[in-house]
Amino acid sequence: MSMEVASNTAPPQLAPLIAAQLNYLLIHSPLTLKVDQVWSGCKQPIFSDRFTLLVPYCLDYTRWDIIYNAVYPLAPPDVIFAPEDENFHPLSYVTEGQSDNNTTISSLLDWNIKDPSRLLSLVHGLRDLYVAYQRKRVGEIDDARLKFELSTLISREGIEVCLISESDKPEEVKFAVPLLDMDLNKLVHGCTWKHQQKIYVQVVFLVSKKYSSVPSAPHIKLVASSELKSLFSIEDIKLPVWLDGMCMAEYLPMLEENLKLQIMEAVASLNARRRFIEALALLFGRPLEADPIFCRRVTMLASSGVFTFLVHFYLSTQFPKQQPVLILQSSQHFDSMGIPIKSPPISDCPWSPRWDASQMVERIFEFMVEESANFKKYCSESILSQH
Amino acid sequence: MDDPPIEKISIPGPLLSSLLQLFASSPADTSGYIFGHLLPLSPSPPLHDDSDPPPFPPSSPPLFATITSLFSSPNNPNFLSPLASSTAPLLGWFSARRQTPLRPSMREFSISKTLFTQTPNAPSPCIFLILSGSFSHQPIHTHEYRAFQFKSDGTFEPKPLQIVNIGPDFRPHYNVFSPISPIPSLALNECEEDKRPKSLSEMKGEKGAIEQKAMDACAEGFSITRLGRLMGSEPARYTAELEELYGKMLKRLESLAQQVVESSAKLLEQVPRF
Repeated sequence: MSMEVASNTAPPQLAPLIAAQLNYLLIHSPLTLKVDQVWSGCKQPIFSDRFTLLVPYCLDYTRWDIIYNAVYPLAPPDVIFAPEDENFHPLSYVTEGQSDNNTTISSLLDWNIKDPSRLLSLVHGLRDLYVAYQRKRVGEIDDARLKFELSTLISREGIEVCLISESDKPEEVKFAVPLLDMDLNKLVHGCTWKHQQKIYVQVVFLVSKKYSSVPSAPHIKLVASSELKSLFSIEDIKLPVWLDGMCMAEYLPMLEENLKLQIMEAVASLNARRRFIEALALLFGRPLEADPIFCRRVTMLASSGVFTFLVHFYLSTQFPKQQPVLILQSSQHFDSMGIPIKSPPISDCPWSPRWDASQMVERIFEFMVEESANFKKYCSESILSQH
Repeated sequence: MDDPPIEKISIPGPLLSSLLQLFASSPADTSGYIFGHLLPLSPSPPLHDDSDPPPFPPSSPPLFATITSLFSSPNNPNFLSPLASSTAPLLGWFSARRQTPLRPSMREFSISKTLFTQTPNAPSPCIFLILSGSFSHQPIHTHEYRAFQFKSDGTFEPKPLQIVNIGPDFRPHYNVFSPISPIPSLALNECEEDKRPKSLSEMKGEKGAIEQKAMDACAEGFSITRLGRLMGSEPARYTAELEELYGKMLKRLESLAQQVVESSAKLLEQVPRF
């Protein structure tokens, strides 16, 4: 992450002490923060002293400009919040005693630029206040349904809400609810996910000013942290139907139950893929290359007489149900650009999800014996057609 | 507290340019105070002449704010030093920061709030001015600024900022201009009552008698009237008399010097020798 920052500073580099605080923040924060822009506010810019931080909130990012002052390094940084948050005044929350979290103001009062962890505690303190601010804003909306939803959900840990009001659209309230009280990082043995993986449901309600007889169904969408997609695709998960008159407290347990089953399936698929790759090794020999964590790809070396070629297997997250896709790649035939000739994707080899792994591999091996002759012919023809 | 609404804020062009110059030449972000006047936009009807009118009548007519001066402490941008003495009342403050959005920041909100609620002579209403712009090594510098009224409910309300300059047609206005303030009274001595200076003879006849006596003692009969003749057409006749006067004066000085010499010799004798 520090490299990313350094490459962004086409204007001068961040002052060393500020860079130390920013790097500490990016490395140690459990939030997936991003730095968008770095620049200087000095007349003679030797060092940059301000940057835009993208802070994740409610499945989106909010932009905070962190304004240090390189000329007066002992002064604490100032923050300019996004235009839609013009009423967010974290310091007044603290002084009015509306929050018992007064670490923010005390850390600003007794700011220490030499302590690299200070920015992290400031940003986290401000974000906590921001969560409270958005909840208060949503709580003040005069909508009976929203008030009810908020009161039943507010006790859930990690819930975030925000009011979306754009001038040309009706007001909406977005809920981001973390689902499943389980550690997804432990599902996959040996995985190297840096951040805690989470699945959220995003529910967007339209604010109805007057009490309408039939409140419209909310827009529901599942959102998973990006790294989860190698285990399962969140788009494939079917959402339960939202019935009229339903509330989220009823809907969420159904959704979680459903999701839990599908995650179990995804893990079962992963185990099936692993067994398949292990079985491949018995017939084809050791794989040339394999994805040992998610088992989505494996490449084997095969030969038929003197013709040697590679077999790439692509395994989907729906693995035994969806059969693997094979691509053959010759190690002896090259096109005019010097690139090895590959077959089109093959997805019609003999297959049944009910076979056990060794039977699957046997049938593919037999298929390969026949297919190698076709592929050799295909390679020779494509070489001839070049001349 | 009910906020009197500000209709518009005006700033003289030269003052704004000096503010921009102050900002452009400062090494980093800077801030300072704004002083000026508040006037009701439409003059209130002159009904209660004798009674004290309330400062803001119940309807709270919109106000017109005029910024007249600035004060900035260049040494510390993050600390607004105690109010500098200014003839105009405090109107608010400004914050100038390079290449930043023209929105009040977290700190600026807190300072405005403190200034508005916790300062003894809090400006009401309080004006806040943000300046930004790009200055770094570019051929063209852009300046941006935005004015706000800070309200007691903790919101910044954007207000138009009008730049006032004297145009070429202002000249005739000087002819109809009449100063409101009187010419200040100068501390002179008593003879200022009479507009013309007194002649010497008048001085002699009037209060000047005491001074005259002292002068006569020195002049030894050579009266001031006779001295006056020196200025006339026939001064030659009096030169001898004048020379005699000077001669007497010199003799007297000589005798004085003699006395000093003698007395210091006596003093020296009396001082014990060691």
